[in-house]
Amino acid sequence: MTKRKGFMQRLLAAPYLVWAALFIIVPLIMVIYYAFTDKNGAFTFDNFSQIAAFTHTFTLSIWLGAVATVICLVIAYPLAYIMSRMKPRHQRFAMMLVMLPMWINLILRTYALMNIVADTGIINTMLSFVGLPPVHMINTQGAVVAGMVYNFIPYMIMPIYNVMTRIDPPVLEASRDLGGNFFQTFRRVIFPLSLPGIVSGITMVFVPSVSTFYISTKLGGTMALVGDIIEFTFIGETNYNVGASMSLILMAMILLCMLVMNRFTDGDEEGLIV
Amino acid sequence: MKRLSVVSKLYLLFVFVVMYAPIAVMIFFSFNAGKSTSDFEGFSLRWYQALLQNDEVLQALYNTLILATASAVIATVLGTVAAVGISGMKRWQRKAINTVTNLPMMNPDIVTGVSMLLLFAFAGRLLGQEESVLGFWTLLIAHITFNLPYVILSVQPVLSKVDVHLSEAAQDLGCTPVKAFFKVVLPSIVPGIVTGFIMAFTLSIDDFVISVFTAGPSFSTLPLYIYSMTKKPINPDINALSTLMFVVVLILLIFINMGESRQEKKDRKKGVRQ
Amino acid sequence: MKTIRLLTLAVLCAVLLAACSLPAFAAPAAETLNVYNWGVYMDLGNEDGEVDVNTAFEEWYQETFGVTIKVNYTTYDTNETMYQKVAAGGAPYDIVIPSDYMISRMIREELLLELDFSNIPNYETEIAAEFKGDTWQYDPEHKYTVPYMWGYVGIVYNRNHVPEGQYNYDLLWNQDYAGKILMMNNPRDTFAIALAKNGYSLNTDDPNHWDKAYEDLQAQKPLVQSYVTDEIFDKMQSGEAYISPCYYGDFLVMRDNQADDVDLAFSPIVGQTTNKYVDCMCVPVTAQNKLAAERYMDFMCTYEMGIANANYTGYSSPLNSVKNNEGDLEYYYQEDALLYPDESVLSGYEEFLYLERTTQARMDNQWKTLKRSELGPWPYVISLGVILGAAVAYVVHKQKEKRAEILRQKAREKYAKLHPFQ
Repeated sequence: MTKRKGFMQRLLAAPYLVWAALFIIVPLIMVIYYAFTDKNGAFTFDNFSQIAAFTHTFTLSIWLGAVATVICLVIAYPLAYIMSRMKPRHQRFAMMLVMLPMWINLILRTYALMNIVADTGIINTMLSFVGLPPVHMINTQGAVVAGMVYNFIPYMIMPIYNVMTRIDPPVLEASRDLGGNFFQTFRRVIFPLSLPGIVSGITMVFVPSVSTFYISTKLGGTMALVGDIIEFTFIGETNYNVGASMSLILMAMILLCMLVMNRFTDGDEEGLIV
Repeated sequence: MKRLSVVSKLYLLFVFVVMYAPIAVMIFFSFNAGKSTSDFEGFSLRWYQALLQNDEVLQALYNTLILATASAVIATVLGTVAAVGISGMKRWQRKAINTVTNLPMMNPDIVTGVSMLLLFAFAGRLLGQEESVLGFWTLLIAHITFNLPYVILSVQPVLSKVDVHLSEAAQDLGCTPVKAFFKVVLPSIVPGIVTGFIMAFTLSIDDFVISVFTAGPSFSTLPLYIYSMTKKPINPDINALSTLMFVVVLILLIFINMGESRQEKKDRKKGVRQ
Repeated sequence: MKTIRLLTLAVLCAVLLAACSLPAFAAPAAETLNVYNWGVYMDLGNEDGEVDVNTAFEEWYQETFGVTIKVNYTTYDTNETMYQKVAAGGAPYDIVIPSDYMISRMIREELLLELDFSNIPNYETEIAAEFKGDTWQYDPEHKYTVPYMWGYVGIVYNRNHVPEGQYNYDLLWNQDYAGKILMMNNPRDTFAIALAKNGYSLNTDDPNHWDKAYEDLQAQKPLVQSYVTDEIFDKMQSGEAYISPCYYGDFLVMRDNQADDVDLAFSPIVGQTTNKYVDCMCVPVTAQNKLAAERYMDFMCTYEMGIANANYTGYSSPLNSVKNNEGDLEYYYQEDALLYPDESVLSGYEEFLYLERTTQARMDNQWKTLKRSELGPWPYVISLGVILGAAVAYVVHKQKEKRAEILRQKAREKYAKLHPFQ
């Protein structure tokens, strides 16, 4: 009986698996095919040898993505906690408020952000108004990280908030009754219980941050991250072979980072066969 | 639920102010008499007027909303069902599938976009289709594909917190497995489903890179319209449009919130537990 | 569940709202025409006094040929995006509007169809003679293209910070303006500037020329504030940057919108070559309605449409009638004839042509190498520290668990000893 039930339950994943095979695996195979062939379709490793020149760009992207992810986590965690302690209807309202800015087009938001941090922008105008020296913010790594944080933070807040709402207040009370102070409760109860959400959040922020390209071009000045390079290789250069090999390397690096993360969080739900 | 402390409130306020500052700037410049989005020349409704005459952008908005709604709904259903199915699998199977699920997120969008274009063009040739292959359906498939991981990543953490015994208990009490799922499991994973849906909708509304490669001549979306404005500065009527969208959604949210609050009061009077 | 219902409601409302604001769907037209153009590159009549050229075409088409037609108008951001959509197939575009170098590439790769000029009578009378001779080489036999807009690159500068004068590209290497210089965010335009500065042809195939240009760009990078596309407008108008290469038509738009404390001026390039470009209407091989496409081109060559598009974009029109009626141009600049400069000026300028494959690959690689960013050593140190720290924490944690497990095991054994029969 239970065996059959288990089978029926697993069967629910079938439509998705078919979908994934068609639209995730097949394109992936195409990427792999391009990465290991030259323009004439012959097998080659040459595409990868070109990548060596961009080692530092790869590390820079991963570094900035990691910094942005950490900042997102630091900001989002308390926010998600506070949200989960609100009245249910306030919670729903707050949740929508978190997502709403993302309904405005990325370009418009980035332009507005540029407007705020530019040398002749709003912050510097206000600073000079009160007689303070201007601060140079735009076209720096900091600006790019700020752009990433601003853009991706909802994807950190949402999953953490989600699991937080699943923590029963009685559990927290029990911890307190047993003499745990706030930090103990946090360390022993809240944090472990919210771990799956954190892992989801990190994935959803880190992964797109690393491969982003619009934000770095607009806020980073002359800076080009690996996303920009890949974008140019695909569109500007129309070189699918090198572009595919670059994105394969990027995928491998992201996988590696997530693998490391999963080892530390003992994340059960996250992927990675290894 | 206890009342929030002052510190919590201040923190919430701070984060939301920062999140909404660029939106405020964007709204401000939608009332600009001049064409610039950085230099305010005086108040005017010029761009709102221009917006109403702009059939292209209104059509694009309409298309965007249709596409986002359809892709988010389908992705949510497919993703939720898949998450339930996956949760019944063995650990290694789960991990393998989750790795595949994460792939579209790890790929830079550009790679997904190009490989989808090649896939669709190939399928079109295979089917011997003379007419356009690219159009609403290809866009829909692409959007569902990149939405799916976000839905699954939102549902899974919540699902993992659902007590399996509850479902079993329900079945012991005479529920069919299906009924048990709808009565017991589904209600408790609603928050995950809702966040998954909202994230999918949001991603879809703002996607450009994948859309550009999967869109055809008869169906264009708002991001495509905005991103292609590279020859000249972005028309502020887009700011006007986004402002309207923002305000409409915000008013709706406040309305819903008020409605809920009234409902709550009524329920309390009746003595009904929420 | 309630939340879901409410959300669905909200979304539905939004969709309905959008639907209501749309004009009622017209009856399906007998024919369709798929136009694929640059964004903001055609007058679509969104402000008072402007003309919606596509609606005008639909009306004209029905009046003239008695058939209803629907123009599907979509837009792209770069030549390369358009190229890939056409090359991959799958989307039946009838008209695309690529630039010179992309035209010569698409002709070479047989992606364009030869036009039947008997369907485009206005071409003969309206298109300026210079586009039919040897001045331009993108379509040497004039078989595939009808010019749409053209222009050339000069330097825009802020007179409040840069003295008035006639400049050439050396200005973009001037240390005094470090951090206030913009460059274009695509390899062809950027390398052209460095090539022109050294007196080389913009279409050179000599590797040494490209290497020298690359060196110069590398040296210039620290002075550059940003590689820009459409942000050029914001950055120049607000005074964020002082100097940038730019198209004359773009300068006119910038000057119109500059901030109070900004005073923009344009200098054509003196003593060096520069890029003159033209974008042309072409019929790609994907076309399903070539006849209507040619009629569309013909319609675009009329004075009314030409002037509408010229006013809308600010670029120079290849139409005789528009050039000869400069008084009607909003953007016409009275003091000097920069919008339609003399043939003598233009003859020194070069269009972009198809580059040999090796040259193209060299340029693309150099561009990527130029653009790539690096980071100092400290992120490595910090990352290493974090990873080591985490590893140590992990090991300690595991050890602790192991010890706890041993203790538990011992306790269990002890318990078992005390209660042997349980």
